[in-house]
Amino acid sequence: MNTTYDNIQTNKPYKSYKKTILGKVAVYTFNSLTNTPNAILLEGKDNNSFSATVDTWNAVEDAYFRRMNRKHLETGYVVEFVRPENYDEITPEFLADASDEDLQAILKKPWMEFKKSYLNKITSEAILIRLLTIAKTEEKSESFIKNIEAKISELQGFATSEE
Amino acid sequence: MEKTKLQESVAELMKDNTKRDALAEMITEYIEPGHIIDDWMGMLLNYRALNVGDILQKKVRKGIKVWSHVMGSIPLRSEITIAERLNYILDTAIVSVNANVMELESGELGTIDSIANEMRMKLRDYMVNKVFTALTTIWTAANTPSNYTAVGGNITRTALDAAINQINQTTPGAKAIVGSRVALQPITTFAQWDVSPTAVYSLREQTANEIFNTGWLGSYQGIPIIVAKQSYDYPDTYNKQIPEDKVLVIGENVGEFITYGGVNDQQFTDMRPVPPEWNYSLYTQFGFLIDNAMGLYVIGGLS
Repeated sequence: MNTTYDNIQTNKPYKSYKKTILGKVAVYTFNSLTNTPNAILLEGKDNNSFSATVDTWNAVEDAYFRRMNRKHLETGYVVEFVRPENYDEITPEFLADASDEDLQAILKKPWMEFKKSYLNKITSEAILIRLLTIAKTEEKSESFIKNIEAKISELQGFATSEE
Repeated sequence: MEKTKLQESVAELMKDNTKRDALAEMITEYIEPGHIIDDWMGMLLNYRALNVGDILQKKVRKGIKVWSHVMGSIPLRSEITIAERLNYILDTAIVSVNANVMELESGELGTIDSIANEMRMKLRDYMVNKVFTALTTIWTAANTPSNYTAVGGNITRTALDAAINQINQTTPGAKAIVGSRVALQPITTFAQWDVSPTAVYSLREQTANEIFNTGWLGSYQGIPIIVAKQSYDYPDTYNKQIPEDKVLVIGENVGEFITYGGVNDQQFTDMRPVPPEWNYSLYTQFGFLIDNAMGLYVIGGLS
C-alpha cells in the first residue's frame, strides 16, 4: 500500500511545487502526520533548489496546499513541477567521504603530490582535522603537520572587510 | 486653561477681523508642523533640519580604522576623507485653507480645534504616504532574492518574522513596520499567540489585553507599527492613494529625511470676493534619500 510514510521514505512526493519569482514566496502547507498547518517561505536564487520548492505527500496535503495558496497558483508565483530523480543526492566536498584508510594512503604519497593534488583542494575543516590526527599518530614529518595546520587556520580565519 | 475659556477666546479671535493674525498663529501652534515631521518621519528615517543655503548633499566620512600595532614602530594611519554620496531633490508640502469671512464670523465652521486637528492629520498623512509609497516600490518580486516576499493573502507571522530577521542582519536593527491599516490588521491576530516548534499555541496575555482594550497593537517584537492612513483622490473616482497590498519593514540608518528651511506660514484676507475670503497656508520644503536599500524589506502580494 502506498502510504504517506512510504512516499516520504522512498522520496516520492505526491506533487511538487516551486516558486517562479526571484523574491521569496510565503505559502501554507499541511503536515498530515501531525495534522498541523505550517507557513513556510520558498526562497533562494535558484528556483529548482531545495529551499525554493515544496512537496505534498498525499491528496489531503495537496488539496490543502492548492486551496490555501490559490492566489499564488492563479498568478503563477508558484507552479507545479516534476522533481528530477536525484534532486536530493548528496554531493560531498573533496575527500569528505574518504575512509580512514583512504586518508592514510593519501598521507603516504610523496610530499609535493600530497600538497598539489590533495591538500590544496580540500575545502572542509573536518577532513583536515582527520588528516592531522592521522598524520600525528603516524608521526609524519613536520612539513606535513605544519602545512595541514596552516591550511586549517586558513579555513578558520575570515577576511576582514576593507572599504 | 478651561475648555470653555479657550473656546471663548478662540471665538473672539475668529470674529474680530483685526485679530486674524493671532488666529493664524494659534492654528500654527496647534499643528506644530515641525513636530509632526520630527516625530513621524523620525520613526521612519533619520531626520535632519537644514537651513536655506545649506548644501543639499549627503556626506559620509570615511577612513577611520583600528590597526594592530607593534610597539616602537611608526603606526599606519588612515586618511580621513569625505565622500559626497547623493543629492537631495526637494519637494514642497503645503496645507492651505480658506473660509469666507461671513461664515468664519458666524462660528459655523466649527472650532479651531477641529480645523487644526484636521490640518495636522492631513500633513502627517501626506508625509508618511509619500515616503511609504516611494519606499515600497524599491523592491519587487523580480529584482531581489532577499528583500521581497510575496504573500498570497494576509500577512503571516512567518513572512513578518523573516523580514525582521533579514533587516536585523543588514542594518543595526529594524526600526518600523509600516503599512496601511488593512494590511497591518492581521498582525493583531497572530501577535497574541506564541507558537512553539510543535505548533502548541499559548496566549501572550499582555498583547492580547492591549488589542482587546484598544483594538490595535503599538509594536510587534518591540518594533513600532506605523499606520499609513488611507486617502482617496476625488470623491467621484475614489481611487486609493496608498497601496494596501504591501507592508514595509524599515531598518535603522537606511536613509535620511530632511526639511529645508523652517515651516512658513501665510495669512491674508482676500478682499476681492464678496464676502471676503480668509486664507491661511503652511508650507515646508522637504526631501529624502535612501542610501542603504538593503535595509528595506517589502512584504507584497497581500490581499
